[in-house]
This record gives sequence, C-alpha cells and structure tokens, in this order.
Amino acid sequence: MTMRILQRFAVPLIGIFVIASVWEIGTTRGWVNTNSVPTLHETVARTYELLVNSEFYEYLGGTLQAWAVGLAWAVVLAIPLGIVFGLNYWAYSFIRLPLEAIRPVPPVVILPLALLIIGGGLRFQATLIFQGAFWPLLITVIYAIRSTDAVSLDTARSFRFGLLRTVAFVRLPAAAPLIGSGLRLAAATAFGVTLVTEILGGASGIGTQLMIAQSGGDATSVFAVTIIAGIVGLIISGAFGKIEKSFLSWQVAS
Amino acid sequence: MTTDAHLEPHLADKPTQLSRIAPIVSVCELRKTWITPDGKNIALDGVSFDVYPGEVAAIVGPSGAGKTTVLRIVAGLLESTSGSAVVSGETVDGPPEGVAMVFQDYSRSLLPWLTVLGNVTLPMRANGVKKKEALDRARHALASVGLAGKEKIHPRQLSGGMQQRVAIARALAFQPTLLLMDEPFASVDAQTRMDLEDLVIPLRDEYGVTILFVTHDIDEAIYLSDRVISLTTPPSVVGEIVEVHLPTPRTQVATKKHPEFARLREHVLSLVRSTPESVRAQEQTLKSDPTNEENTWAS
Amino acid sequence: MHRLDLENSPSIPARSVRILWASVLPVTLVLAYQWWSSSNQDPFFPTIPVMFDEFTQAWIGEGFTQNVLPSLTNLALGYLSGLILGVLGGIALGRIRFLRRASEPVVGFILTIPAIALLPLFLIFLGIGQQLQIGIIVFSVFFIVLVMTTYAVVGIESVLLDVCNIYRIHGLTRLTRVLFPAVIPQVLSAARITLSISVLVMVVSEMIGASNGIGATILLAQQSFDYGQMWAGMLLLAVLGISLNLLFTIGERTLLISTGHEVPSRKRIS
Repeated sequence: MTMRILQRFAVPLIGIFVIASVWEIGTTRGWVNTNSVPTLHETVARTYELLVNSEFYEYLGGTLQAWAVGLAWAVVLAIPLGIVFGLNYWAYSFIRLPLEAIRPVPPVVILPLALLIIGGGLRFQATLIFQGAFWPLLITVIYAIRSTDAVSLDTARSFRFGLLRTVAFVRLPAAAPLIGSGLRLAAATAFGVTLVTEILGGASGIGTQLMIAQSGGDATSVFAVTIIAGIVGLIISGAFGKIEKSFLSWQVAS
Repeated sequence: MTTDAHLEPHLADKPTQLSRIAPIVSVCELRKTWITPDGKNIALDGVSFDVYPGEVAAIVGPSGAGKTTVLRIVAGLLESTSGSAVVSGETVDGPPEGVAMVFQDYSRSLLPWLTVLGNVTLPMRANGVKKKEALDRARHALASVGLAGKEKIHPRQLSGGMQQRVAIARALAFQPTLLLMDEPFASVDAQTRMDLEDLVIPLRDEYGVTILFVTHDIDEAIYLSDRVISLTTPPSVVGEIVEVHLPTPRTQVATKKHPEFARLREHVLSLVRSTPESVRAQEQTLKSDPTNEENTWAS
Repeated sequence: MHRLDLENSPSIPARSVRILWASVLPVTLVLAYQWWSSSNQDPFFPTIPVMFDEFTQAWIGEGFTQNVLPSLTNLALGYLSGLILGVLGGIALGRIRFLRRASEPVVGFILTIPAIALLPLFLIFLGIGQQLQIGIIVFSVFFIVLVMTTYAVVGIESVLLDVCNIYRIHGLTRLTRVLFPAVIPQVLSAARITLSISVLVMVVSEMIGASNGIGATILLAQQSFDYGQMWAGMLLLAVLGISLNLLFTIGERTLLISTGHEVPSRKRIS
C-alpha cells in the first residue's frame, strides 16, 4: 500500500522537481539568455508579488468579468436553443448549413469589425467571447439532444409520456454528460478568447498586462503572468470539470 | 460425491498411463490474491493439475472461480501470487514459446486494420517466419477453418463466428504445441457455437496440438474434452479432474444422447457447485482410506 | 416529436424537399445582406460584389504569394510537426508509466494555459518572424495531441496487448502494426481540434508579431480603416476555416476506412 501512495504522489513530484531544477540551473548557469528566460526563483518571486498586489486583482477581475459575461450569454442562449433545434428535425435542418459553415471559422474573424463598430470595451469583449463559445456549445447541445437512445424514446412513448415529460426525464438526462463536457470546453474557449480580446483589443485585463510586460522586455513578468493565466485556466477547468461530473452522476463510472 | 465413477474397471487404467508421459502443462499449488479496496480477495487457493500432450482439457467452474485467471497464468499474461506453472518443461514467467491463445472477445482480439490474411500472418512475420511460408501456412489454416476465399476481407465485414474462425486460424498457423482458449465460443449464437465446437477436434488431429480451454458450459466441456478440470467456488481449488471416455468421433446428436454423457453432465454439474471446504473434507477421508489410492483428483 | 432515426423512417420527405428546405436560410441571409448593404451604403458593410472584388484584389496573384502562402506554409509546418511530435510523445508516455506519471502535473498545467496567453512569452523567446508563428503553433498543437494520444494508448484494448504478448509481437512491428493503428481515431480527433486552434493561433500571432501574412494584413486594414480589405480578410479566414475542415473530413474518412475503423456518423453535425 505504501508503495502505491509513493508512486501516486512521489513520481509526479519527481517530474516537477526535474523541470524546476533544469529551469533554475539552466538559467543561473547562463545556458540560456536570462533576458528571454528568467530564473525560476525570480519568476516565483514575481508571481508571488503579483498575487499579493491588490492592483493586479483589478486586472484579473477585468478578465474574469468579461469572461463571465460572454460565457453566461452563450450558455443562457445556447442551451434552450439547442434543445429546441435538437428536438425538431425541421428546425434543425433549417439552420444546419449556416451552422456547419460557422463551426470551423476561427472566432477572431469578426474581431476587426467588432473593434471598429463597438470599440474596445466590455461590450466588444463580451461579443467576441459570446460568439467564440456560443456556436460550439449550440452544436454540442443539438447533437446531445438528438442522440438520445431510440430505445429510451420508445420506452417513453410506450408509457405515453408527453413532450415535456420526455424532454425532462429522458432527453435531458441522456444529453447531460455531453452538455457537461460542452460547457467545460466552452468555458476554456471563452477564456482563450478573453485573452485574445485583451491582447489585440487592448481591453484591460491580464492579457494587457502580458503585452505591457512583453513590450517593456520584462521577461520575468511575462512568465509570472503566464503562470497566473495557467492557474486561472486550471481553476476554470477544475470548476467546470466538477459541473461536468455532477452531470454524469446518474451514469455508473465506467 | 460420485467418485466411484473413476473406479469403474474400464476407466481405471487411464491415469497411470498418462502419468508415464511428461505433462506439457504442469500447474502446481497456484494461488492468486487480488488486493481490493475491501481487503484481500483470494481467487485461487492452491490449484494443481497437469495437461498431457495431445489431449483436450477443459477448465470449468462456477462464475468467479478464476477459470480465466488460471489460463492467463499458464499463458504468462498474469503473475500468480504463489505456486508455479510449467509449460513444456519451463517455468512460466511471461508468454512461453510455442503457445497460442484464442480469446473470448473476437471483435477485440483481431486487428481491424489488417485483412484476414494480415491478421493470420502477423504473429508469424513478427517471429521471423519467411513471407512465403507465412502466407502458405496462413492460407492453409484459413482453409482448414472454412475461410478459403476470405483472405482479403477485413474482420469487421465477417460475422462473429467467422471472426472467431479467423482467430483460431491465426492460432493454428502459428503452429503452437499448446493452444489455450478462453471461453472461445461464449460470444457467438448457439448454432454457430456448435459449428465451432465441431471444428475443434478435427483441427486438433490435423495440427497435433494440445488444447487447454476454459468454458462455463458443461456440455461443451464434456463434448470436446478428454478430461474436465473442475474448479470449486472461490477461493478455488480443483474439485476433481473428470476423465471423459465417450466414443469418437463425437457428434452433437449422438454424443449428447449417450448415457455416459448424461452421467458425466450430472457429475460435473454437482462438482461445479462444490466448495473448497467440501473438497478438503473429501480429500481427508480419501487419504485415510487406503482403498482409494487410485483416485485421479487433487493430485 | 421526431425520433433519432427519422432520416431512415418511411415518413421522411423526399431528398429534394430536404435540400430545398436546408438552403432557405443561407440563401435568405445572403440576399437579405445584399439588399440591406446596398440600400444602406454603410462603409462598414460593403455589398457582396464589392467584397468579392476586394477579395480578388487582396488575395489573388501577388497577395497570394506575399501574404497567403507564407501563412499557409507556417501553418502546415507548425501543425504537422506538432502533430508528429505529439503522437510520438504520446505513444512513449502511454507505454511508460513512470514518464506518464512524472510528466502529468507539468503537462496538465501547460495544457490549461490558453495558447494565446503564451504569445507574449514566445515573442520574448523567439522574437518577431516566421519562427514565432511556427513555434507557437507547434507548441499549442503538441500538448493537446500529446495528452490525447497518451490517453488513447493507455486505453488500447488490453486484449490487443495480450495478443501481442502471446504471439511475441514486439518492437517496431508492435508499434506500426498494433499501437499506432489502434490510436488513429483519437489522434484524428486531436488533429481536428488542433487544426482549428492552429488557424486561430496563426492569425493572432500574425496580428501581433508579423509584417506579412493573413493576420497582419487584416489588422493593418482595420487600423487604416480600409473596410474592403478588412472584409476580404474576414472572408478569407472563413473560407480557409471551412475548406481546411472539409479537407480534413475527407482525409479523416479515408484514413478511418482504410484502417478498418468505424466512421462516426456524428461528424455530420459536430
């Protein structure tokens, strides 16, 4: 048993340790230029400085606010619309071609236009984040609703379930796991697009901090803010992973 | 217990004959415990048996008796907790040479990206058999299992029974001395199952291979085997090794109507329900009874 | 209420009716936009013929060799090397448990950083130029493919590995005949996800750190209020995304069929 615990926790620590030592030794011994790669201890110190600095939280708050607004609109619209289009074959085939055309188009396409029309504020950000997250989520929900097992539907019909009852007790529970993973992906995409709007559109947030640090040649801050962006990403994916899991709760872990 | 079956005069001499030949498989006091969240789970608690060259032996037992576990240990795919398995004179630690195996799940054990012919030749090619010889052996094996003309097809285009025939051809073309089969016919329909069963005996004769297989179907075990190794409920031990002396060639109708078949069936069925405790108790009484020295089981 | 298998049920309307119905919305959208833009004369929204004119001017001929071709070259180089490295790394991680466990936290962390957030870091590291585009595409493709391939290798049917062990199929034969074909479906879905990510990363990185290329041209047009050129760029990105996706779908289908894998029908929608 102790062997297992050791393997479970010690081996990942070895991995972290190896990377950290290569980083630290490589930079302090001058194998790489510290102008482009700062030393590990400096980076850690800068990360800590930022995390205890209240000013930094204003930027972080800006990022999270834009992310939340854009994502919320996407979720609130995509789920009901997805259910409706998923239920009705005619409605679905009506929007199918444009939907399939939009899907592979990168979400930055409308950025120049939006920047011109809306300017660079929260509305601009929310618009971009919304359309980055909305389309994939809508497609996932439609697919999830449509792919309900035919036997479950026949069962529901044999019990003379009405439309609402069928949706509530058969289609939605069956679609929940897929919708859950769609939400997690949408949240991650939205976070990525948020950073794009900051880096390219200049909206205030950690993305702008990254660009300011970069243009000032401050490699340490760039690394520190990137690490914080990673931590935020980790928290987001962790939180949405929890949501996804709760959507899976009816399924036996397999 | 109906142990007196083995004392019938026409059956009594077989074990002594066999014991003069070196066994191809010798399993000795095999133990296997799994560590689960609820603690230790003893699957095998000292399983011993031998398989002799040229025979067909079946392992039967109730669900969870560790039949497949025994087979996988013999195949070198699983390590035992203690005890040993010896195949062709060598202690097993990894898949032994000259062993082929047919798995229950044909749809997963065949490589869907290779053709039927590709599936059958791959093991030979990986072991240095020349291309031409591998192709000849593969074609011959495929013809023997009734799949001539299907060489260029992909496995997914075949029915389940056909796929399992490919798996059998793959095993035979490898020209093993020992063929292991894990519930080989459990995933096909009843009719196909009989067809596949009837394929095995002629193939054994043609390829001169020793067969050890696992099944949960007692009829199948008796129908195909020379000896049936019966495991008890877990923690499993060998309940009894039953000699099958049914007239050959065996046929689905005549053999299964034979009174001896019915008797063996009833006997093995009662064995499959036995527990390790009842076996040990029986062992004890037999050891103290000198007239029963010739018994074949629990060796 | 429509059942999932409606397309196969006898009550299904004729194919022609379905095609007609499906084309109502796209045709209406195009016509409505044309009518609206020509009656409005808004400089932000040029009419469709104007857009096509601008498109031809911007991207055909010299524009193609100067801006589109370099972008596509960077995309192809970065995408393919990221893909190949990711698959090889994933097979290694999938087979060697120690490496997998040791790299898990680091790889997991890198994976949660949005590719875009890495741009400033790569700018410092690689500077402006082709190496920036290729570098960041390789990086963002590599880790996603790495992780998905690792999972795929870990999830290979244990029976297949049993077959390999029993029949002594080892080394290169095992890699090329068993492991690699087995992970093709998952590698393809990783390749599909990373394809759209690399287009995004390519465009954004060109907008920030390049003097030519599709992204640079679009941003320049936007900053100089050249709406026609900007629309031409947006159109190009849409065309690029759609056609790359189409190409990918065809390639994916061919590869799946030729390797005996099932072609998932959901590709029609997802």
